[in-house]
Amino acid sequence: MEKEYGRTWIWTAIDSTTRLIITFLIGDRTLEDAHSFLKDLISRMNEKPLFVSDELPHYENGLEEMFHTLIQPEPTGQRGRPKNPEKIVHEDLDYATVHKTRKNGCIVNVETKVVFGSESRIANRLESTPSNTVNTSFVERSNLNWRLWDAHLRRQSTTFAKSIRWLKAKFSLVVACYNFIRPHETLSRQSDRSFTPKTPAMAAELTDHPWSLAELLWFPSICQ
Amino acid sequence: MTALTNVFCPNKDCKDYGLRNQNNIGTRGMYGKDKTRTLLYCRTCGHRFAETKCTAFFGLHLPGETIQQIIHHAAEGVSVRGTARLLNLDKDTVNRVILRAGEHCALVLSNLLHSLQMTEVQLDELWTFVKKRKVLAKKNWKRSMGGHGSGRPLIAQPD
Repeated sequence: MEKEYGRTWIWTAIDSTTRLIITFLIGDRTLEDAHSFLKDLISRMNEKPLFVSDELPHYENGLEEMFHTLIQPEPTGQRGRPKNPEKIVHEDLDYATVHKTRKNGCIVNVETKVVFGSESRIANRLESTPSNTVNTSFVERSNLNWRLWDAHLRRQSTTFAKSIRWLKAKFSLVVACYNFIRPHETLSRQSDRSFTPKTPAMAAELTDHPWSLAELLWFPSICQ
Repeated sequence: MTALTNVFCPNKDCKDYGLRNQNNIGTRGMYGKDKTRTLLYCRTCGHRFAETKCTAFFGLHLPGETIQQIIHHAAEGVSVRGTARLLNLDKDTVNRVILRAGEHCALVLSNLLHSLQMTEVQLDELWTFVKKRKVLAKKNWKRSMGGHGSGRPLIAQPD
């Protein structure tokens, strides 16, 4: 039976260059949900990007499960059970984490750690993105967007979700509006400060114009 | 309404089921009380269907403009009862429209976001809360109520 009450977690993935919300999952903060989330995320991308997250160990575990090869060790020639296969993580996987140290609720120190991949390759990847360093600023900022635009996610109010079905529906609605309808300020503002409306979906080359609400609601879609 | 190029045949037995831009969709006139709704058909299988099929408007009797207003309010963080008061509707109507549109948006996102070229993906999780219901938490109560009602059973039912 699906748990339908109490604390719930929304897993989100954002691309820092296009600001596109690639996928999200509403569930618990468990390893099982982390695996489902990462599986869905990876199935939507052609190549392995640089993954950045906070220090939650579920991501490391999930990425290791997704991108590994099992290598059977050479037989030792001695008696006994053969050794179990070893998990070798793919060499082209890059994953870094951000560790924040808090004191009295305030962040006093931020450290980064490369979990998979090499530091030099991650630094090269970061050169082609808006991030100069390993950080989670973009996804943390998007969390504020959801708190502002989805009444169910507002803190300390009575508009909290009364059913998980509605929570999922309303969050999908807000994410779709963010991806396809709302022009993104940073993407839209040109170097000469002129404003040309540009949505995250346009930046990711999914559409060529900002959608209207009618366009989104009229777009036929079917469960595939 | 949407452009015909985006429309696909919703008939699961059709060989063009779910495929866009196949040049197989045409209009078959208008229908409804005031002849205001467009009827579409598939040239491949001959299946006729409403123009609202597979969209957020299918089966809803509210005017399209009101539905858009409800969704606009919902996407700007207005509460359900607030939306109902602003548009002079019932809160259950607002809830029904939001649910239909939200599930439609989930499908649109799922259909369009694939084969992406991403450079740096940041991952995080966001805490939220769904109302706790004591009735749901106690399985025995739920079973004895048969999924209906709001109170305790008056008599213990022998198994």
